[in-house]
Amino acid sequence: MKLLEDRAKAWLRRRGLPVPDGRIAATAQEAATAAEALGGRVAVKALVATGRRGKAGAVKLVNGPDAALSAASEILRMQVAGLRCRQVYVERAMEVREELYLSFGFGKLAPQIVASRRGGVDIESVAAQSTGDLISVEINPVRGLTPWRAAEIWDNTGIPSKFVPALAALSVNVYEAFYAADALILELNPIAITADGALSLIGAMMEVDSNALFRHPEWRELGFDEGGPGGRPLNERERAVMEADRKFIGGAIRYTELPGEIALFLAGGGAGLLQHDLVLEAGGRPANHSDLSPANVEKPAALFDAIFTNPGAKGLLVGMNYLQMLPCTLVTEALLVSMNRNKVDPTEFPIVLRVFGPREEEARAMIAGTPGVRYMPSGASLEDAVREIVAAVSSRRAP
Amino acid sequence: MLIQARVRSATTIAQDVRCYELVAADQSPLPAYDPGAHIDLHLPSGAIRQYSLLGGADAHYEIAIQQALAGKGGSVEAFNVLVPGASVRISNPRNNFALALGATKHLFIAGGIGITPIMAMVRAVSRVREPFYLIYCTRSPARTAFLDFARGLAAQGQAQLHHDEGRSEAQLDVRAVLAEQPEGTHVYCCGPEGMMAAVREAAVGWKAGAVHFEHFSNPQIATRQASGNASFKVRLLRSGGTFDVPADRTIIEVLRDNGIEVQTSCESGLCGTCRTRYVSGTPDHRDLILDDREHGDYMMICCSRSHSGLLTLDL
Repeated sequence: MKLLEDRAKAWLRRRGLPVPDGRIAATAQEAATAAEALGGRVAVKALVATGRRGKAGAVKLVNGPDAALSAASEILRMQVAGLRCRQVYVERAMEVREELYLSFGFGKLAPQIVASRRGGVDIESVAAQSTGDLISVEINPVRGLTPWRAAEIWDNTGIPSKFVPALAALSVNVYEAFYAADALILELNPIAITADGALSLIGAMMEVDSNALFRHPEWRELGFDEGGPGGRPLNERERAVMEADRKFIGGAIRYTELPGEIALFLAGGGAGLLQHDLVLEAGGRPANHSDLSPANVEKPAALFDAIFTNPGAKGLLVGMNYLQMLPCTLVTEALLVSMNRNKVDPTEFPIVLRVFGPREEEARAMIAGTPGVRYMPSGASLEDAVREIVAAVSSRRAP
Repeated sequence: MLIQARVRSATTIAQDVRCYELVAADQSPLPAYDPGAHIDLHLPSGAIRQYSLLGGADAHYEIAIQQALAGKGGSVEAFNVLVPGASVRISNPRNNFALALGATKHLFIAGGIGITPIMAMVRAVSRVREPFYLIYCTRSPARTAFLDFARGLAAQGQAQLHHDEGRSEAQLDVRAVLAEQPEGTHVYCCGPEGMMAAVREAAVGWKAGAVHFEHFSNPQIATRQASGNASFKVRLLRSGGTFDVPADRTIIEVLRDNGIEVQTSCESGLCGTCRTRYVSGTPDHRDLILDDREHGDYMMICCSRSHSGLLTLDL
């Protein structure tokens, strides 16, 4: 899960690292108020979970509240790397003498530190030039990063030696922050050497391991607000699926709503996307995307709950393929549980199943007594099943 | 897992002392290490010797070897076989002599070739500008490795060189030196046994963990051996089996005789390779690297023995 800049910086600030003072603003007016409170020159930055915002023009340095207002209103209308900007981060601007780069991530076998004395917006081109300006070293995960190693690394970047002690101490603290956050990546770009020779963490991007969120309750709920697809917030059904995914053990479920009417209960990336194409080709529109890996019955049932409560959905295709090797009864059992829970009448809400594989006969027997559910015969193709559901939904809508 | 290395250069830097640059045979960068670390050098004869890494360089290792004509032959063999271009197998770095974090001052006391781990340490602390002082004792300027480096530090008031020309009355007054150190100082000592014993004695009353030693050899093995070893039994908890360890054999030797592979290196209780957890019994610890706390759970089975008749190991 990517953390937005304000969250990443709050984490670093709490660990005593030098982060400039900053505020969140959801409107241009709030940005002006924040700029006034901070005083002097400020940076107005798009609060979106992506790098390269500076290059995209989504970071503006301005003087005073009026300029902050107009910068924010411009940024709040922007999309950065496909993400709609819903908030800006207003931060005290620093007098920058030199911009450095520092990041922690994972190499082939161990955590990795990358450092350069040429930080800033062009770090990608520094990396591409491979002129040795980017020092990248693995860190012993047991011993961690010592100040001696960190100093050696900064020394190798060519930075004047008078800055090395402070950078070494800073790097050790940042590594500890990276480790404690269960982060996958923590990138500081730039670290500024300010006019008075101090260090300041101006740019901060952090992605944390979603599987470790149980250790970080403060971030656990954020995914619901900040991780929405295409920059929109998650709706209640998408949140419910995420919650169920975390709550129940084993496997994984995913659910993203789309503006169509054919609900899709899918498994597998390639076969899933192929069925989206087939639905469109047959003249239907998908009401959602979903994915499932083998789990206990609660997870698929939660996925069916979302589908049955989506007001846009008018019919359901359960399109599995042989390769999943998951017992067909898992799907039918979860389907019946959820149909019962949501009082679904398949004569009103057509359901087509194409579920072949282990325990198929049992699954067919479970469904046999449910009128309106069409279980495709063995050998039916994905196209056959898609045509069946699109036809069923459109015939119900026609009159 | 050993690393295939190649000797890039060999330079005589003092009387009987040569400095070697080692690079990975496949040109890849060698594993990173912290100051104070050493590697095992696997010589063609099968002898394994430990040498400290000098620090200062990232992609390759530097070691310095003093030829000890009266030694066990490892350094003489190293002098003969380590010529530029020669292949040699080395271990990953290990560190039993790490710099302390948060020391108010680092005091380094090096004797002779004991300067080698301390070189890396001095380089590291000067890079982060932590307060330090080096006391470097050698017989004479001609026998002093890194003489210019030490003289440079001395000129800045960060080192003193001490040449005793073999006269015991000219030896350093360690007690006086330690007495004048500020609170929070960490002392690091590497050199001949006599010097280390003097530092150990002078540091009685210092806080545990504030005085660090790196040994060339383990005098405990010979002295305790001379006073007579007892035999005992060793039981292996996980793999099963109970074996007799006679007075003239070590645990490692007995296990090896019985086809049980245990990783070892120095076999003198100095390197840390064979550290083993014990489950019951009372070990007779003879190593020089585990501290009292670690001795509560672990022992070095290359040299340590047992006070109890039966010792159960987590092997």
